[in-house]
Amino acid sequence: MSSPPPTTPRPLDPRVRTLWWITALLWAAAASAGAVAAELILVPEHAPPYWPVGWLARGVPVFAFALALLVPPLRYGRWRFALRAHDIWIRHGILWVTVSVIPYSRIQFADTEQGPLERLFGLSSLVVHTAAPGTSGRLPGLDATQAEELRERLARVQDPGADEPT
Amino acid sequence: MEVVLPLAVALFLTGAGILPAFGVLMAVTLVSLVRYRRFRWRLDPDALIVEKGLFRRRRRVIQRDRIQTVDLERGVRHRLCGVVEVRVEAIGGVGTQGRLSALSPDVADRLRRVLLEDPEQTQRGAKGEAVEEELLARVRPRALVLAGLTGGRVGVVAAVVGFLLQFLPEEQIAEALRPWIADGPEATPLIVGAMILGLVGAALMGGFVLSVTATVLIHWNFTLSRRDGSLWVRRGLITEHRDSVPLRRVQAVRVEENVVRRFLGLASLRAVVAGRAGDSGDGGSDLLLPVGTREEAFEIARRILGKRIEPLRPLEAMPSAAHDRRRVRAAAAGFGGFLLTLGVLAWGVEVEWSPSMLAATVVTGGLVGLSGLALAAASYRALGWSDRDDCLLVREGIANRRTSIVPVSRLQEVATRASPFQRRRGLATLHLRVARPPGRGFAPRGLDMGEEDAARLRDSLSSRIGRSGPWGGATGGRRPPEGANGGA
Repeated sequence: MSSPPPTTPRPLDPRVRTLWWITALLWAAAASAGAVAAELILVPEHAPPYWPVGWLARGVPVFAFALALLVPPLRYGRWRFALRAHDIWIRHGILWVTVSVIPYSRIQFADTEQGPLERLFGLSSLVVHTAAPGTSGRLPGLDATQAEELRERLARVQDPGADEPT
Repeated sequence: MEVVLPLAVALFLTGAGILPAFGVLMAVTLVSLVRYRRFRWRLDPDALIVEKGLFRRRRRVIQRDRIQTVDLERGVRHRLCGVVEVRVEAIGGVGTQGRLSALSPDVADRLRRVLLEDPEQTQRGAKGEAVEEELLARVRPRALVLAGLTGGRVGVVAAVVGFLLQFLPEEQIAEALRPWIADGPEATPLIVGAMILGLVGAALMGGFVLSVTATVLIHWNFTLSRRDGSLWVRRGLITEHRDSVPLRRVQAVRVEENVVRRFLGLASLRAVVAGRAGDSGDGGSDLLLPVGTREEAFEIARRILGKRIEPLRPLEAMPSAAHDRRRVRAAAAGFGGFLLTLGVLAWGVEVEWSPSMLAATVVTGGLVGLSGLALAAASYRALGWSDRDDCLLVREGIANRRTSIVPVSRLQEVATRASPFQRRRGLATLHLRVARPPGRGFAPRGLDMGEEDAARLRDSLSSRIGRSGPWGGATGGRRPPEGANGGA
C-alpha cells in the first residue's frame, strides 16, 4: 500500500525520469538515424565547396542527444502536484511554467493510462477531465497502484446531480 | 435534393436531351416521396422519437432532458412551401441530433416551446402568471450597414490604408501616370506602385460590399429577447433563423470593439455556449449583438449574466512590468528594422557605404521603434482585469479590444502560465477555462498579470468554484477525496 498523496506539492515518482530518458534517447536515436540517412541522400556526389558536408549527420545527433539527456531531469524537476482541500494543483513545463488548479467539483471523469513502457516500470498516468476542452489535469508517472487508488477516490468524490455536465 | 435539381437543369441545358433530365427529376421526386412517406416523428412525455429510412429503418430517441437547443431555420425552399426546419441538439452528440426538415410554422413553434420549457416556468404559467418576454436588443437595418462597414478585418484595414493614403505624394503619382495613360505602358516603379494601390483599393471596395451584404443578409431584423430561461435570437433575410440559447448554457460573454468601432463608440457581443455543436454555417449563432453602442453591449451582458457589471468602473491595470515587456519588444523590432534595412541596402541593393545609407537605416529603425513604442503603450493600456460581483473581467487587444466576462460559477479550471520572459519580470497569464465546444468560442485569459496577483486569484477562484453552483444553485462545498490528505 502506497502512502497517501499529500496536500503539499510533491514530485512525481522518480522512476518516470528514467522512463522519460529512455523514450527521449530512443527518439534521439531515431532522429540521428534520419539525419544520417538524409545526409546520404541529399549530399550530391561532387559537392560544391560551400556545401555543408557532414553538418546534418553531426549536428542533429549532437543536438538530439543533448536534448534527450537534459530535458527529462528538467521536466521532472518542474513537475509538482498536490491534492488540496478543494482542488488538484499541478505545476509543469520547462520554459512555459503552467500551474493548473482543477476543482474536484468540476471533474467529469478520471482515467488511468498505461503504455507498454510504463507497464514495464510499474507506472501509470492519471488523466482528469473537466467540461473544458482539452485538459491540463494530467499526472504522468504515478505509481500504478497509487494512480488506481487516486482515480477511485476522485470518482467517489463526484456528486452526481450537483453539477450538470455542460 | 439541393444538388440534384441543378443537375437536371444542367443535363437539359447541355443538350443531353429532355429524357435524361426528366428521368433525373422523376428519380428525385420518387426519392423525396419515399423519404417523406417513411419519415415519422413523435413526442413522448420524456423523449422525441424520429423514425426514417426505407431499407434500413432508423429510429432515434432523443431524451428530452438531454436536449440543449432547438433551432428553427427557414430558407428559400422552406418559404416557397410555407414550412420551417427544426433542428434539435442534445448533450453528447456531434452535430445536429434530430432534424425535422419540414413542419408547419405553428407546429414547429409549439414543438420548440414544449421541448425547451422550464418546469418551473410552466407551473408559473399554469398559475396564470404571464411568462413575460423581455426584449434585449433589436438591430435596425441602418445599424447593420454600419456593422458591415466597421466589422471584421475589412474595416480595420480600410481605416489604416485610408490613414496612410494621405501621406502619399499624389502629384508625383499623377505625373507618373500621365505618360502611361497617354503613350501606353511603361512600367516605372511608381506606376506599378500606383497600380498595386489601385488594386488594393478595388479589393477593399469589394471587401466592403461583400462585408456589408453578408452582414445585412445574415443579421437582417436581428432581435434578441429572453423568455423561459432562454435567449431567443431571430435573424436573417434569405434564410431566417430562430435560435434559442438556454441561459444556463452561456459560459462567458465577450464585448468586442475593434479600432474603428471604438472610435465610434460601438461594440458587438458574443457568447460561449456549451454544447452547441451544430452551426447554421454562417457563424452567426454565438453572436448576441452584431452591433450596438458600447453601453448597450455591456447592458445586455449584465442582464444575461444577472450580475452587476459596471463597465465604466475602471479595471485593474497590469503591473508596469507588462508595459516594459512591450517596450522591449518595440525596441527589438526597431533594432530588427535597422538591421533589415542595413542588410537590404548592403547586400540587396549593394549601395556603397555612405552617411546617407547610415541615415536611412537609422531612420527606418527609429520609425519602426517609435511606432512600436506607440503600439506598446496602446497594447498595455488595453490590458486590464477585475474580479467583482462573482464575475471575472479580462481585457486585451489593440486592433480588436476584447473584454471577456466570465461568471465564477462557470469556470472549469484555472491556470497560470508564464514564459521565461514573463517570469523574468514577475508576470504570468491567467487562463480561465470554461466548457466551450471544441474549436468554437473563445478562451478568456488575463494577459500579463502580476505573478502574485495571478496566483492569488487562481487559488481564490478555485475555492470559490467549489461553493458556487451553476447559475445560483448551490452545490455546497466539496469534500476532498477521503483519506487523500494524509489519511485524515
